[in-house]
Amino acid sequence: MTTTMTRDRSRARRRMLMRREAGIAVALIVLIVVFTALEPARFATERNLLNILTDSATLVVLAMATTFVIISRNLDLSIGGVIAFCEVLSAKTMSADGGMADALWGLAVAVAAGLGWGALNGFLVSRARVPSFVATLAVLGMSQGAAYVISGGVDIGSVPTALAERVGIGRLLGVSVLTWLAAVVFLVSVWTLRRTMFGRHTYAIGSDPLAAGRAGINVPVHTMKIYLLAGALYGLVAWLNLSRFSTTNVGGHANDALNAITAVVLGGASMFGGVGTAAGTLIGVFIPAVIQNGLVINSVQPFWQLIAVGAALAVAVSLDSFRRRNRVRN
Amino acid sequence: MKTVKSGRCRMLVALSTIAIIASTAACGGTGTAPADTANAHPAATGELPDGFASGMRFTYLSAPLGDPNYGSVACGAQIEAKRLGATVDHQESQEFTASSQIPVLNAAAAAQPNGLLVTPTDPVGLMAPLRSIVRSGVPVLTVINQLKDASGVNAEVAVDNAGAGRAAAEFLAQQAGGKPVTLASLGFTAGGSLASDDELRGFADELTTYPNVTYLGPQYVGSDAGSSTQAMNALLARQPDLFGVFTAFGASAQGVLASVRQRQTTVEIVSGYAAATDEVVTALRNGQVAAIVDFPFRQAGITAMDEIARVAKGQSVTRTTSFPSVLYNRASFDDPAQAANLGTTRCPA
Repeated sequence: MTTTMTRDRSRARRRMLMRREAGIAVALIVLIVVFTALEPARFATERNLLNILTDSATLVVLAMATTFVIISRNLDLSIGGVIAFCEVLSAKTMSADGGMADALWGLAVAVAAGLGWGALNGFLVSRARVPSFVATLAVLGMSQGAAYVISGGVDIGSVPTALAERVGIGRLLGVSVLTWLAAVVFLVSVWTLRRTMFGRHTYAIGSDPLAAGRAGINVPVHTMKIYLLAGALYGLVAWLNLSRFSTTNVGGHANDALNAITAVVLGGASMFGGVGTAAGTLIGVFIPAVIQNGLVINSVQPFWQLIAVGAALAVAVSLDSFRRRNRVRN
Repeated sequence: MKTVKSGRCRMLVALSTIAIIASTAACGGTGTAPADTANAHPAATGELPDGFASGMRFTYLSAPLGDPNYGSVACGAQIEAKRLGATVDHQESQEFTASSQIPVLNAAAAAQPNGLLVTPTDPVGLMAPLRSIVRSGVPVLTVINQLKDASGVNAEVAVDNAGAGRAAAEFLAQQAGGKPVTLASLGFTAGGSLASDDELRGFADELTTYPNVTYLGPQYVGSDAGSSTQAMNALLARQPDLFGVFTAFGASAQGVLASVRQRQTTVEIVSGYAAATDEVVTALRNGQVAAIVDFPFRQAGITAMDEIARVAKGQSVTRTTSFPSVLYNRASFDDPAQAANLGTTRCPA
């Protein structure tokens, strides 16, 4: 009896999640249809759509990391500083004349640096019990400052040409390597959230940390794992940025966290935790990207893009809040 | 039942999003340059004959949103494009970063204009994307900021940033008149841009030729007015006899000015990139700011428009055109040629 009820509840939840994703997917499809109708010869070209995918690749990876953090009822504002730090450290260990072996060493350094900051975030949130907003804000300052100290405030351009050619502008079956890598991270995120114990524990902690603890989940350890995972992905993003731009961008990541959070929330995740999907986040990344691309192609003044994305975000968050109030009332 | 409600809500979100986009597209219109105060002096025109690029469509891509200097470039390009019979769509990315600019750049190129004018936000990061666009058949000309290697674009219209820094240093040193003084620079962002790094380097290099000047070095803070006020207050607490300060932008000059007023002291302020900032120009007129070091951005826009029109028509162009800096002081208001470039945040076109 209990098993049947649990199964029914699980099915109902899956149906609800499917509807969430379906709703925003329809929004994205309609956007694409509208822009295609307005500029058929310019918007819906293979080259333009592939460019949108490439341009969104690093944000997809960042947003996947943020999805895990937000589902677990936490936040991570340290993204920009950690990426800047990982870029600087990775660039310092690579040489412009180096080959792919050098580049892979740079990747290892970037991921290790990301893991280090992730461990500090995880420690502060799960062990020191500092609210994630404050803890990650502190780490943002420390990591950004450390990036400035190590680089001396000057961007470092010692990135191997092999990295730029094979990853930054490399293509596989006509699609950029960056897009393929982002697709792998997305698929692994989908699988992890849907099929693994790690994913289930993440939802359980986000829904009710106390209940999750009583059910035998080690909440501090799991929270630490989530921040470690996020840190490793920030390291990967730093390395991908180096491959794409062939230089660090120490002062250029101020809005990375906000862009990632926007994508996750647009994708249907709840800032109150326990709700969200990787597929929804993926669509949440592409909605602003398609809006920006379509409006530029249609020669619309860029200020309107901010209004459009901001309004869509406000509507998404308001409806989530409304839905939660309704659930409590019922 | 609750699930059905939730599904309907999601649908509403979707429809609202689309409605927003639809209204945005309907109300948007073509991008225009930011507004500029009434300008009694007509802008100079380029060298090409009227109607030279008739029916052609160009795009100018700058960063970040709302910067008055890039607005001046766009204004010059639009004035000249109108004369040549062409149109220029001005697009901006939100941040001064390659990652923010490249998606807008790709979208602008996808619209297949006759040419692109681009102010690159990164001297290295934009090289490959711009080269790729040129290879796809869209001519590209960089304006103001330069690439590390410009061989991938058709031409460049640049400005001498290091020269602007040297001019600011020379002005402040001359104001000191040989007396021992202390100077500082403020409002520059570490790793912010190659242009401001060059300007700062020019400033520091020039000051080494004046043995009477002690330079405290750059005070790296945010370039906004609030951060600059805080930094200037701290600087004056440390160095009460500070003689002069070179600020990166108009906003940092306003921040420094607020601090100086607050402490009721006197400091020679030289502002970079502020000739199009109405508040700083007013402060220059009132004597609160000693000088502004800037560039003739509107003229650069006119020249860039001429060059890209030539490329689009298959004509030869000058590979690099460079504009020297201009130093404006109180006397500049009496010089019609200089006064025409001050407080130019409204495009007369």
